[in-house]
Amino acid sequence: MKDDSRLDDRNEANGRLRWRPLIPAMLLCVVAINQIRLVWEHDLDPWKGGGFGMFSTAAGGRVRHTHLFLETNGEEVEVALTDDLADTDQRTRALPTEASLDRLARELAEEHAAEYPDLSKVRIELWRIRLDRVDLSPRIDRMRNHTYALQPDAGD
Amino acid sequence: MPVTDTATSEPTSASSWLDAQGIWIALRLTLLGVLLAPIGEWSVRAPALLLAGAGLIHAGVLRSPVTWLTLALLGGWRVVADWPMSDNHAYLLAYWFLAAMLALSGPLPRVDLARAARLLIGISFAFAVLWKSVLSVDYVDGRFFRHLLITDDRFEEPAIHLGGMTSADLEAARALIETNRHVVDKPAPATLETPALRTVASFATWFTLLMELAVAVLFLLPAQFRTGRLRDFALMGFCATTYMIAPVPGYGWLLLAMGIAQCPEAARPARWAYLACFGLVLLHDHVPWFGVASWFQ
Repeated sequence: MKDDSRLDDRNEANGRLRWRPLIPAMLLCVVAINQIRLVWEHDLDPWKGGGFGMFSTAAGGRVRHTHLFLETNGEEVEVALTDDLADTDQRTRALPTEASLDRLARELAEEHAAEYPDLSKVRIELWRIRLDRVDLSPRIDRMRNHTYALQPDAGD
Repeated sequence: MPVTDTATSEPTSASSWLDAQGIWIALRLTLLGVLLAPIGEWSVRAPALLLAGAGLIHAGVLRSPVTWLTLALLGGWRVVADWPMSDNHAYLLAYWFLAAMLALSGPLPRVDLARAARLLIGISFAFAVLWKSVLSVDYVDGRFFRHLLITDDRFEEPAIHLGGMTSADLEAARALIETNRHVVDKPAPATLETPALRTVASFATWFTLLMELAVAVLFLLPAQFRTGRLRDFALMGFCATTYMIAPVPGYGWLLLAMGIAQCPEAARPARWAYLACFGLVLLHDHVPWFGVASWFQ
């Protein structure tokens, strides 16, 4: 029975250029290594980003949640996540960079602009659940506490 | 003398249909997978479905590198537009489309496609093993599968039928993990776990890791290691078992299409087995096996 690895060998022995199969594989490696970097540096959900980390950890976006706060007239109120912001929230939980947190804050501010005309800051808390090794008790810890100032003089 | 490439082979008789398919069976299965598990939003899905349908019924479309370049661009755009939410197989599908385009535009499509398939399967499984065994903080100790079986309703059937959990206990355990998250004085979810669920989680943990390791090693071994068709058995074994439980048949179909692409035409039984396995994953997607088993009991 012929084995195609032998066919490859013979073709290579004949001087055939075999670069074509390497390109998709190299692309895969670059994306996957970058995914690992993003997980380490920016807390990317290990299930996402093309690094083949799906079904490897319970510490993904599903166990992360946000708390959203609006500051108006010096007082802070917590608001619930609406369906309109669910997609942005999901992406922020998956990759909580400064840019994605700012985007969620801006969209949240726009959504509540009519209700809170004096809105000065948006604060987003991102939390995650870690499960105990033995009894699976959920332990919660805060990953981000991000403040987005809407007015230049509001400070941060 | 260069090895004859069979990319342009035409079917000669019904009995040798699969032999005569050459690499086209792999590409047809890829397109069939796209039709069975449509990809992306409408702007990607609609043209991808049209191309996949056209490629299945017209040999010229199937064999054109332009078809595969278009699919690669659509697959790549899907990943970029949905960043960072795409699942792993969205990436792998885009790489595979690109591999098909490159192979079909070269002088030896079968050899190039086979090597690309081996590399993509081997490297993707190697990264999966790296994540599970080294990078993940909760896989090897079994926490991941214990959490998955409890909280993911897509895995409720194995949790109930294999793990001996009741629907009520599963719901209660989910509530302990997912509601009142900031309350610290809650009973531990493990108090609701059955010993069987822990056994199932432990088995799934190590079975998955070892199967993925076997696939990675066998597909990446240099040519001088004679492994026969072991790698095919490993890949098919992985697909036949994993996709009975994991609700991502599109990933299974893609792996099997890539698997048959790297399987030489002379390995006729293995190629038929890949086809059968493709059908089996289709059955996994539509037949409620646990319900059928309960019915017989």
